[in-house]
Amino acid sequence: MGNPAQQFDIIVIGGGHAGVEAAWAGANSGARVALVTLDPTKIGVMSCNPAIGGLAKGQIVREIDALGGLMGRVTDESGIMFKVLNTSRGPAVRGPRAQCDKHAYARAVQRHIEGRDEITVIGAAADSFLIEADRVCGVRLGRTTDEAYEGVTLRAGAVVLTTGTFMRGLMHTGQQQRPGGRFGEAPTGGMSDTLVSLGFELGRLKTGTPPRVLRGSLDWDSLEPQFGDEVPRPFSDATDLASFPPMDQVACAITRTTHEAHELIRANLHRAPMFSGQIESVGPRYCPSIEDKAVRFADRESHHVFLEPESHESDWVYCNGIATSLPAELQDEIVRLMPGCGRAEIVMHGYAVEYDMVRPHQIDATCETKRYSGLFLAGQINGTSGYEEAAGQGLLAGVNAVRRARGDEPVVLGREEAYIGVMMDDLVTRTPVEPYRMFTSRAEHRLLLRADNASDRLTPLARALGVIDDAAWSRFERRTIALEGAHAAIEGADSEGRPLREVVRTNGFGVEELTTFLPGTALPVLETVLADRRYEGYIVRQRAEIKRQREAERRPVPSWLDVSALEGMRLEARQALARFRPTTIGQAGRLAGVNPSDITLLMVAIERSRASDRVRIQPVAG
Amino acid sequence: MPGLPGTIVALASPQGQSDRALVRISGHHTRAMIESLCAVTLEVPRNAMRTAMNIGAPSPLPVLVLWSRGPRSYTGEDCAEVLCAGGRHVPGRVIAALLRAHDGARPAEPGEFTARAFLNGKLSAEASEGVQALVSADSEDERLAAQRLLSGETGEAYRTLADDLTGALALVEAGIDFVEEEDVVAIPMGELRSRITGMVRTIDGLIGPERTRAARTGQPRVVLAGAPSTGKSTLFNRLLGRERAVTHAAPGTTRDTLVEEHRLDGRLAVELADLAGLDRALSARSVADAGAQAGAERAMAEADVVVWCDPTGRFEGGGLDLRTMAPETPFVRVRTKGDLADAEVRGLSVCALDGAGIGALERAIADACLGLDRSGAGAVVARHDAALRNARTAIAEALGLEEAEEIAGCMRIALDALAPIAGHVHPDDVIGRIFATFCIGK
Repeated sequence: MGNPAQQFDIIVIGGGHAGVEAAWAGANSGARVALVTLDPTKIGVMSCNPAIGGLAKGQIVREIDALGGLMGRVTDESGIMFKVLNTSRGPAVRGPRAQCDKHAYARAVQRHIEGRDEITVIGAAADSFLIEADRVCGVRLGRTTDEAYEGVTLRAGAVVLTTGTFMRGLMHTGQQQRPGGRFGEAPTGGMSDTLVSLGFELGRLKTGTPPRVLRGSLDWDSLEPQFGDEVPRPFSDATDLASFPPMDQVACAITRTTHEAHELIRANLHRAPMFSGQIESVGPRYCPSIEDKAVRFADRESHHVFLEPESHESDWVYCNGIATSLPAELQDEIVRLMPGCGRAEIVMHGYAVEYDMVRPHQIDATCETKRYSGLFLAGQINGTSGYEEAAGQGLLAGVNAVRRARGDEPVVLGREEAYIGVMMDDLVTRTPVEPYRMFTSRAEHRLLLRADNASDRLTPLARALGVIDDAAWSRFERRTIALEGAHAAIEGADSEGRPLREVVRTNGFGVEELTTFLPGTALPVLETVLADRRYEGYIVRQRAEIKRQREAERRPVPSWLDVSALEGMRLEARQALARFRPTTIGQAGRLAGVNPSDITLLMVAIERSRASDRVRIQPVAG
Repeated sequence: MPGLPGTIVALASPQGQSDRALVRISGHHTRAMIESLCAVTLEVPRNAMRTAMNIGAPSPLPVLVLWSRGPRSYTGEDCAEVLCAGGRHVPGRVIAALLRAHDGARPAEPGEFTARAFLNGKLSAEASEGVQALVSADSEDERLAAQRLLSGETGEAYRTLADDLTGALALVEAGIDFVEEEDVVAIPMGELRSRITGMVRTIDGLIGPERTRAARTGQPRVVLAGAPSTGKSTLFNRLLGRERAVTHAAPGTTRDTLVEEHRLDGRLAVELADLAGLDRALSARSVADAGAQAGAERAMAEADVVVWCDPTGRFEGGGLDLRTMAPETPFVRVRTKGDLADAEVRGLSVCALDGAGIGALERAIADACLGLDRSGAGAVVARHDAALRNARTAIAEALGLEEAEEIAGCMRIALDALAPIAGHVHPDDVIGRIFATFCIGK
């Protein structure tokens, strides 16, 4: 067997959705990657709702796909119900979503990872970092599942840390508390201590999960079924339509909570960790627990609950809508009060989990920590929620970790380029007070940031970064030619005496109508053409605005600038700048407490220090 | 073009202190802005051109324009200086017209001209040492002025407007981001349109008074007020140096408000107004007297400075409290008919017959006028106007749209336009409003 490899280009700690994309992006960049995770059989596990995408999140998955990532492909391989949300709205605010078979999903992820020679999976805990001159250049392994790695120190040019909910994870079900990051899995405590000792400021967040019930214990016939789209659409451009979807499709069902259950909850609030003070950290407002709903919206008689089968291989059904940390026996009663669930058997009770995050003002928009070069953070450790948000950060962190290891310039995505860019910018300019989730309303350029045009926005960049293969690139080139052809054809055509270019913008003119003018054009191309035409006016204006702002937006704020020495700047602005240490003028301008005059001062201060620097470093003439 | 985007406009001369004002413009669109308002073609740089500017008044305003082409200019960008009539209102109208002339134009941030000059390498690091001090001094003044304005009724109106807009946007966004939620019902288009129409009207109301005030000559209006037969018209004539008003010992001689331009202390031009003597009892005498009283009260309300004339020197009684008629306006109290007074008069006293005390009175009025603008409120008001107009344009456009995401886009632009006067509304705030309104979350 010999000595195991100890030298890598990058090390990724954690095998969740952030870690997987980081490792994958690293491999796509041609780097040698170590993927260190506590339990390699849990790589790619969906710990909460086995669904991918949705509004804004679906756009992120499309962006990940355009950048060569894995999530879209795996979703297509394991999806058991595909549905585009918000089809009554315009194309910019529709979101593709899929229910996945959670076992098939994790298996597909693991198969892809195993298929990459560049990636070495190591079953171990990572306890601490190897740091040389403020540069993280390795990881010391703790307990391992592979004896060969016992006590080994791995070396690499950069490290990506993705701890998910495992840092000092504490799970609550009623008054019962268990340390753990996920049901049945131990937490890591050492990493929190390591980060604190390195000077990082940690925060604590909470998230929750609902009970799972046995499929056979439900009365499905009495429930209203929910179906996916008649013609499912894949997430990934690489997916072959001929064999899609590969999995048998399922239906979900809708039921509801009852008034009686709400009364029961309100009478037992003293046993609810969310209300008894047992849980102090903040949970997400967009994903309230059922006890939260019963208290805050007391006038409502019932709330919808979606019963979503988790897999063909197991009988577990996810009760979407009743996340809870109430005592187990109460959960049984609440579930059995739901129509169609009178004899329901809970196979896993809901729980809340509290975990540590590193407040994200300590990273920059590349995911790298400002304190230690070579250390990248991605996913829930940065205060986000959701597989998609985690995966987007993981991909960016993976790409940038490799670039750091090679000494290349880092990559930042702008708010006008990608939802991933919006997310990174939000994270580094505002500390999340709840787990951060993406919404379309967070993106000021959302008419540009659509699911249909993700490849147009990002694939050229992916090509320049060298993270997509030739097949993806030639697919993109074919698409570009088709788009140009379609636009040219529209310019020359008439529809019942009116120029087609005007008719395409009218309400009710859709893909079916357009395809009669452009026979043989692929559906994704038609959709982009329609969306581009519909939003043309805004797109022109938004692009002008983007161009106007670009230079200030990307103008760097040098890290050596001593903000506290900016005399004359208001204290509030100095404090905000000192805490967030923005890396660009654009970021600085978005900080709360910083106004345009402060920005003027900041720019002058930067230029002045530069000028005096130039004077200082001039060589002495011989 | 470096860092700071947009073409900036600001008053470069001290406000209210001179009869000529200098408005400075810097940035890429300078030339287009000037050419769209004046009948000139700017071809030869550094050539002062006499022309007239369309500022929305019935006749164009005579101005002198000096244009320089970047980088050979003060800021290193295309740059222009417009010399125009001074006073309180004219420069403001010139600035407003320039701001409207191009999408890329905006009011300059404090110290921004100097900052641009520095960033473009037109000033050395050493020469720019003062920039920081300058910026912070200016911005502190502006901040205080803005705070004063915002703490009052106007500020409340702006905040209410922004709040209404945020609330409406939250409803639209809820219908986009959370329409799959059982609890969320998208706001019906008719209701949304009527809300937006209401906001357009509100904005028109907020812009309105500014417009009427600016439509006057642009100079501070100083009114001579007091009870009947207190010597106002005599003082008016004395100040003007000619017999403009008919004077008589009988009370109620002056019925119409007389307005004349006057140069105070030989330097500051004002509108001087002579009012009918204020006495509610006179209203009962005849319809004409009632009209005169109403006119005088209106003139009081519109005054920038009130000169309260009272020969008794008591400034009270007679059932007449002038302060309550113009509570926000600076008052100059003057004892008229000084020839009739006892020896020990305190405060200002004039005798219009021999001119005693007139110089001191003029200086006091001039000081009161300068006090009006010392805070930089003029610049702040120009910003308010720009903000309101941009917001109005954006939401008015939303009225013609069908799709929620496009309407939301316009509303977002309007909120951003209002940010300088009503505070920034972050997408998080809108999302927070949604969570407070609806039960969200599966």
